[in-house]
Amino acid sequence: MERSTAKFFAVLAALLLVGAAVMGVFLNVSRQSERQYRLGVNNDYEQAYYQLTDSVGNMRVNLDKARVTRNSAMMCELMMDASVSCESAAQALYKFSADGYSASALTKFVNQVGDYSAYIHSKASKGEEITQSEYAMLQKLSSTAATVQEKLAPVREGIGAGGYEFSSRLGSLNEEFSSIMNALQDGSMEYPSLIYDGPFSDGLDQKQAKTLTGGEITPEQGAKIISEKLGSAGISGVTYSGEGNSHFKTYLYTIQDDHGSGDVQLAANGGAIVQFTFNCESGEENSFDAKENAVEFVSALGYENMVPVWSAESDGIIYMNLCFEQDGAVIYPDMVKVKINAADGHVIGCETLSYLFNHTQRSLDRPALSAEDISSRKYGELETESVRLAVIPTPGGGERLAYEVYGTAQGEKFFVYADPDTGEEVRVLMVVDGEQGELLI
Amino acid sequence: MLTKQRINGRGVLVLALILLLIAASLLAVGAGKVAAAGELLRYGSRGESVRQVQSRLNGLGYWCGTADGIFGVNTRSAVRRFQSAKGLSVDGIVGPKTYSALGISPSSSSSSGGYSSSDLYLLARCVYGESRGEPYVGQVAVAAVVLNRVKSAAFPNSISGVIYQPYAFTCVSDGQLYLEPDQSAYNAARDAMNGWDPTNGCLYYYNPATATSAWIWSRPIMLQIGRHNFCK
Repeated sequence: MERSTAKFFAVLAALLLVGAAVMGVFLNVSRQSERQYRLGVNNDYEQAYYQLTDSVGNMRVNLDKARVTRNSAMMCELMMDASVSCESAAQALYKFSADGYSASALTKFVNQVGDYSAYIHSKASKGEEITQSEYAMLQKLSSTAATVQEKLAPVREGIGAGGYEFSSRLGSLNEEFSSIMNALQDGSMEYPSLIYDGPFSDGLDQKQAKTLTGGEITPEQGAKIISEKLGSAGISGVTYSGEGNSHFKTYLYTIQDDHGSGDVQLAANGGAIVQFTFNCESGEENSFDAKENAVEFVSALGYENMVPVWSAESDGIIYMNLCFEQDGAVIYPDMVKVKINAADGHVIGCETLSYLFNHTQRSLDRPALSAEDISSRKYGELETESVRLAVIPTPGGGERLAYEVYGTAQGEKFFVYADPDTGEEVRVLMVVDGEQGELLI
Repeated sequence: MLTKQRINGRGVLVLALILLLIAASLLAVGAGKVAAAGELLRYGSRGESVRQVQSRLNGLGYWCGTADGIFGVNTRSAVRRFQSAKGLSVDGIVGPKTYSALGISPSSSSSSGGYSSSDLYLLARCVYGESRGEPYVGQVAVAAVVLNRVKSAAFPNSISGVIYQPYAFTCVSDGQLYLEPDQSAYNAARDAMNGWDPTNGCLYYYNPATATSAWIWSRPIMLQIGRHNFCK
C-alpha cells in the first residue's frame, strides 16, 4: 500500500514536471512571439515616423522652391512633387491613430496642402497665372510645415540612441510621443483657411442652403406636413423623435407604412423634406414605370421640371436620380434622389439635400458653340451618341456650364464635359456598370 | 490490483487532462472562407459575389431564399435548376459560364458614385459590426459617417482607409467586422453610398452609455439616432 502510494506520487510528480515543462516551453514561445509582435509594431511606428518627417521635409522644400519660379512647367513639377509628398505624409500619419486619439489636425493639414498643390498644379498646367496671394499662401504653408518638422525632430534623437519605444501597450502611444503629437493638434500650427477650387476647400463648410425660406415651423406643423406630403405614398403614424442641428436645424420623425417603420427628416425652416427612408421589404409584384413614379412623387413634393438622369437596381431596390432642367440644360447640382421598391413600384425613400443647398433660378450664358459644333468634334476614341447642355458641380463647391457629351469607346461608356465656348474637355467620367445601372438620356 | 488499476486510471485521467489543456490552448479556430469577386462559387462559399448571384437568381425566378451571401443548400439547388434550364452542365457551381448566363460579370464592380462592390461589402460589414440592433436609419447614419470621413481632409481618403484606421471603429478592434452582414446592413450601406446621410455631415458617433473617451464628450452633439449620438 505504501509502495503504491509512493508510486502514485512519483507518477504525479513526473506528470506535473512534464506539465510544467510543456507550460514553460509554451509560455516561452508565446513570450517570444509577443516580443516579436511588439518589435514589429514598433518597427512599423518607426518606419511611419521616418516617412512622416521625410515627407513633410520634401513637402516644405517643394513649397519653398515655388518662390523662385515663374515658369509654369517648373511650377507643375514642384506642385506634383509636393502633392505626392503630402500623400505619403498622410499615409504615415494614419498609422499614428491610437485608442481615443487621432492625428486629425495634422492629417487635415497635409491633406489640404496636397489638395492645394494639386489646385495650383492644375492652374499652372492650364497656363493660368498664379496670383500673389497664392504665392503668399504657399509660403505660409511652408512655414507651418517647418514648425511640424521642428516639433517632430526630438523623436529622431531618441530613435538614434536606440530602444525608443513608440508604444509599449496595445492601443496606446508612448506618453512623450503623444505629447509631441498633441502639441501639433493644439493650434501651434495654425494656417489661414484655404478657400480654393478643390474637394478639401474650407469653403465647403461655409455653404448655406439656398432654398430654405418660409420661417421656422413647429414639430407639430412638421408632422402635419409629412402626413400631407407623404400620405399618398401610403404613410401613416408620424411620431416626432427629436431635433438635429447639422447643416441647419431639422426635425426627426418616425413614420409607418404597410411594410414597417421608416424615418423622415424635415427642415425646421419652411418644412421641406430633407430625406426619408424605409428599409426595403418585399412587396407584391406589380407592373409600373419607375421613371413615371419617381417624377410624379417629386412633383407632389413640389419639385417641378425634374428629369431622371440615372437609375440603378439591386436587391429589389431601384435608386433613381432626378435633376432640375432649365432652358434645356440639366442642372446636376439640383439633384433629388428617389428610392423605389422594385417589386411594387412604390417610393420608399427620398433625398433632397443637394437640391436644398443649390437650387436657384440661374442665368445661363449663351454658349459660343452649338451642340452641333460639339457633336462634330472628336474626343479621342469617343463615338459620340448624344450632346446636351449641363451645369456641373466643381470640386470646391462651385458650378459651371458645360456640354455633356455621351458616347462609347471600345464598348465602355463615357461622359466628356466640354467647355461651351472652346469645346475643350473639362472633365471625363467613365460609367462602371455592374449593379444594373442605367443611363436615362 | 484494484488499487493499481485505480492509480493507472487516475494517471491516465491527469495525463488526458494535461493533454486536453495543451490541445485546447494550441487549438486555432478556423474561419469561414469568403469568396472574392470572380472566384468559383460553390457550396460553402460566402461573400458579396454569392449575394449578387442569389439576388440575380431570385430576380430570375429561381428562388434561393434571402440573398444572405452564404452558398447553402437552397442556393445550390437554385443554381442547379438554373443550369439545367439554360442547358449548362449541372454541377451547382457558379463558374464563368454560369456567371455569363446569369448576366453577371465575374470581376464586376458596381457604380455607386465611384465606390466598388468590394467597398459595399466592407461598408456593410462595418455597419453590421457597429450598429446591428439599431433602427434602420441609425445603420444608414453609421455608413454615412464612414463616407463623410472619406470626404474629410482630417481622415483617410478611402473606405478601407477609414474603416481600418487603428482604433477608429470598435468592431474592427474586436473582430466583429468579420461577422457576415445581413440584408438590412447591405441596404443601409447602399443607401449611404447613393447619397443618403441622416447625420448631414457628421464625422463621429458614440454610445453615451458605453463611450470611454473623455474627448468625445466635448464634441457638440448634432443629433441622436437610436442609441448613438452623432457629432462633427
